[in-house]
Amino acid sequence: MLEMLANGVVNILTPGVLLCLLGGVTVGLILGAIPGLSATMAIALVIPFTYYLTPTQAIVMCLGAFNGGCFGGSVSAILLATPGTTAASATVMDGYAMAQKGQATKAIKTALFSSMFGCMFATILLIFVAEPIAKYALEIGPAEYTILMLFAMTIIGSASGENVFKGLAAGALGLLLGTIGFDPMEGSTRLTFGMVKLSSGIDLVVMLIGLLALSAIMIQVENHAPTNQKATVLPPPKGPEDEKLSRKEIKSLIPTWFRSALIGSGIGALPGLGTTLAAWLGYDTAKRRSKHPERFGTGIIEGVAGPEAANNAVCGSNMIPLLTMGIPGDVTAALLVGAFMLQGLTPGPMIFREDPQSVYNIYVGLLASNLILLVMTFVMLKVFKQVSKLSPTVIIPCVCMFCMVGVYALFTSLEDILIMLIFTVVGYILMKFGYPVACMLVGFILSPMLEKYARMALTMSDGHFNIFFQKPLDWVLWAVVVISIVTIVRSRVKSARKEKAEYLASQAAQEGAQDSGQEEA
Amino acid sequence: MKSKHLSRNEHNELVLTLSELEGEAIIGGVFFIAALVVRVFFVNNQIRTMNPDAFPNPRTLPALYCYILMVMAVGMVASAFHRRKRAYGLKSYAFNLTGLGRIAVVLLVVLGATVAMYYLPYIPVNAVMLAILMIFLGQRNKLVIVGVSIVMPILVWCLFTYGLKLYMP
Repeated sequence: MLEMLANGVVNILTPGVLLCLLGGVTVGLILGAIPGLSATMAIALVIPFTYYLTPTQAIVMCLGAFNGGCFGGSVSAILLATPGTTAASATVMDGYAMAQKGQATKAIKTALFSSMFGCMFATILLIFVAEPIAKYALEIGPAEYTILMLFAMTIIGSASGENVFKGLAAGALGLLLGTIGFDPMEGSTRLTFGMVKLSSGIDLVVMLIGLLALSAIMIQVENHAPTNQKATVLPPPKGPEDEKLSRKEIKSLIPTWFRSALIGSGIGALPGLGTTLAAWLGYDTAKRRSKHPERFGTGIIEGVAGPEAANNAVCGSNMIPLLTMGIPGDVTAALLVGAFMLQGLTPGPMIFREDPQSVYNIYVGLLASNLILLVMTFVMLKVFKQVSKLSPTVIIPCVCMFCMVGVYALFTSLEDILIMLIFTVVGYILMKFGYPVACMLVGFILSPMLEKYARMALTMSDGHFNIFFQKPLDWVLWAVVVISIVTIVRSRVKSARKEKAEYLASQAAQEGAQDSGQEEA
Repeated sequence: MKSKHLSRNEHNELVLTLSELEGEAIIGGVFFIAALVVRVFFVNNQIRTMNPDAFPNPRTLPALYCYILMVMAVGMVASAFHRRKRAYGLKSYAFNLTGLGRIAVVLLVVLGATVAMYYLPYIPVNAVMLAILMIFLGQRNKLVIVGVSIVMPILVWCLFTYGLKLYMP
């Protein structure tokens, strides 16, 4: 193994391969940053070029585009509250809030280092545990996936904020919207009202851009008075501490990085779950484990580090089912299969026997892509910073245009833009009434998976629920769900008591001040 | 018109403020009625199943989600009613009515551009859309208006057409 890793390093550190890696990362970074485009599109863009390259050059270029695209989405999430990719939707929560405090550069650097850590951690894990994890993944059936989805649903409770009812209502709305389209088992259409466009369901990117991005832009339009010409969307940094991550801050992020990278690695190893779920689980876990969970959403570095480490860890661990079983974990991995096959490589268990050096080249390529990402991000940081200085009279129309174009690019359908505008209004109303839009998104993402696995499991057991309690793994997963719910309830009770105690303390202080004033008089 | 709900902000724009109970009652009512309508009228009509008595069937989970939504809507209003006499932690919801008008105009312009793209090419439609939005939002520098309106759509068109091989309208 060590010898092949060393050969991998030698193969990757050649000018041709490095140039391809640089090109892939740059394309991924730029396309990931544009709302509506994605890491998937970045890979689709570079694949035609790989036809003329060697297998090593081709694969590392695609991996570079994947890694760059996963990170690139967080740049627009931080600067414009518009996630460039669905995986960056969790980064908006604290990333944009940091940017609104003048800490945009710090947020981007936090996202960059977190992404690098996540991907490198997952790649190192991939090198050592690829085969054992893949074999274990085969043990997980529909019942286990259902319980896993229920665990993921507890994110809704955790992300609800102060009012659990609002979070659960938003989550239920997302779950309901996720049922629109074809039924996963019988194939009949549901809640489409005869519209062909809705037969394939509502696209996540269309909903995301309308609900999260354009609705946030509309709130800016509402508060932006045309007479206020000097307003900028984002304030400048107040000092060097707003642009740099201190050693103390980096040290404080290490536990978050490890936890989120583990989560992302686990999620990536299971086919079908994806970077978005990993990002939200990473964010949720970072919040729950934080000493100050109430600060999440106000602009703190843990709120950026959690989702970013998790979603980029999926980049590495996505290779686990791909390389060991030939199963693409998601659409992006499916494109990578195409890239492999163009080069005459067949991902699957046989690749370890037929061409093991290619596998180790992939491992080293993934590690090297992070270093290239670091360099390219610092080079382009000045460009990113200039974007934040633009006037809202320029930013708002341009973001509207990018959102339209990004949505149109999905299926070249103008109806998607109309659906996006509907969700813009929905998102605006939810945000104004204090509903956590994140909960609606999580519900929407989980709905098809939850239903598919739950119905598969219940069909296998003829409608009996005992299928969810048969294996020891099921009990372990249920214990995790219960612990998750108990932690949420405890933290709510704790924060309610704290709020009341603070109020009573402030009342007592006021009464004390009044009494002493009267005595003096 | 004087109202306890209406006031003016620092830009002299009209702001409508609702108390927490009022806001929750409105939105909770909307959620409850919408979920009830979907459950009663649409779940059975819009979802066909080969065996409606089977468990689970295509109607099971959508119906369950509707019930959850209704219960949560009631919970929201009850929770706001319970908190209304609390002396701390109460929220209010503020809507800038002039700002809402701005939002409506921006959305109408974007909608108009979308409809226009059914008949006209991408570049001129988006150039006009960008110019209208920039002027409406208060941009007065003609160089910026013309420059951004022309350069941005062309750049995007080139990226999509030559880069992604995606042909714009």
